[in-house]
Amino acid sequence: MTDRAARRRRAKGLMDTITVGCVALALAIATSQLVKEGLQEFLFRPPGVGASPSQPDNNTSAAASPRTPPQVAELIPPAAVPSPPPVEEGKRHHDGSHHR
Amino acid sequence: MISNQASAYSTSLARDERVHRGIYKTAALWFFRALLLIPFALMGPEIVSAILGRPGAVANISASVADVLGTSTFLIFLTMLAVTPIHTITGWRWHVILRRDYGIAMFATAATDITLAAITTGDTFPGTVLTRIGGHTFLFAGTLSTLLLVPLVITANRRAQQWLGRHWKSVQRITYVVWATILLHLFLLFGLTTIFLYAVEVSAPLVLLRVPLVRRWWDAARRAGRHRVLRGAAALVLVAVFAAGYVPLARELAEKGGATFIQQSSRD
Repeated sequence: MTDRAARRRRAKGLMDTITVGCVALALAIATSQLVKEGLQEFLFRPPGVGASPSQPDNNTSAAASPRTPPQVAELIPPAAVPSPPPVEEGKRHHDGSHHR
Repeated sequence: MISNQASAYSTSLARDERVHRGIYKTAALWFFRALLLIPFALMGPEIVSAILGRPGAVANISASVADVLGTSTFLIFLTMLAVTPIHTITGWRWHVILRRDYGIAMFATAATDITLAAITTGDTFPGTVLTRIGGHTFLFAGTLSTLLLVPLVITANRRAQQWLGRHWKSVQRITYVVWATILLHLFLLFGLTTIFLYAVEVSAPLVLLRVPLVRRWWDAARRAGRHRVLRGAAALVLVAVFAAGYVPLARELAEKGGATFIQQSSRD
């Protein structure tokens, strides 16, 4: 009975050690980063880093939408295209099938 | 003779009903277990893409890992925490095994999340692997939450229960520390807005039903069959509050996870 209780206490001690080890590991990582990057960098994150808003803000979404760049067609004015010469009916059909 | 036959017939009916109920319960258990595959199914195509070395796959994982696996981890955690209050309210026991399954799945999801974040988020967090998992306060809180799951998952089995005896419960109480560090992680990420408020909202009924006084009162009233109307009304309110926080989080996962999955499919 006493032997079992002692074994369970040792098991609890082992689990406590693992838990403390996990906390210490997290703290060591954070401390090393705090020393390396500085307090400002550690405490404050640039807006948008690490969190994507669940619902886009209507006021700012249009201004801050890096994933939807303006279309090429909007930036480059369409070049003047000379009107094609009249094509015979049979030839037009042939060109269409060729492209496919 | 007739009474014997009637008795045999009713016993047989009761046995059939028990068998049927057992089948439903087993089906329900496997349904809830199958739900645990969703985060991996949603991230799967992007992970496969990255393994195959397709262009843009790593950037895609970097953009979606927190939204999909982070939200999934929290939803799994909340579902795990809901198991005990459901038992308190209804007295059901068939679902209690899900607490262990969801706990292990939560660790698997969180570990995948932190591993992928450490590998792929170099564009957002320039620096070493350590910068990506502990370079900011919110990253530290998330990493601490994941690491604290290690002792929980090690002891999430019957053998550990026998090994630790009465100490097993005290080890499992680390769950409450994890709960606090997850809420801190969400607060540091989102502030007093959206996801953090949903997290607080969904946590409130789970905390209330864990208050020893409330739990004991509910348990005793349920066993004695007293205060049915009061318990029914209270249960409705608690479920409504829980759902008000849980549903937006699940919708968030559906939207972000669906986009992640479809993005991959459309690219292929």
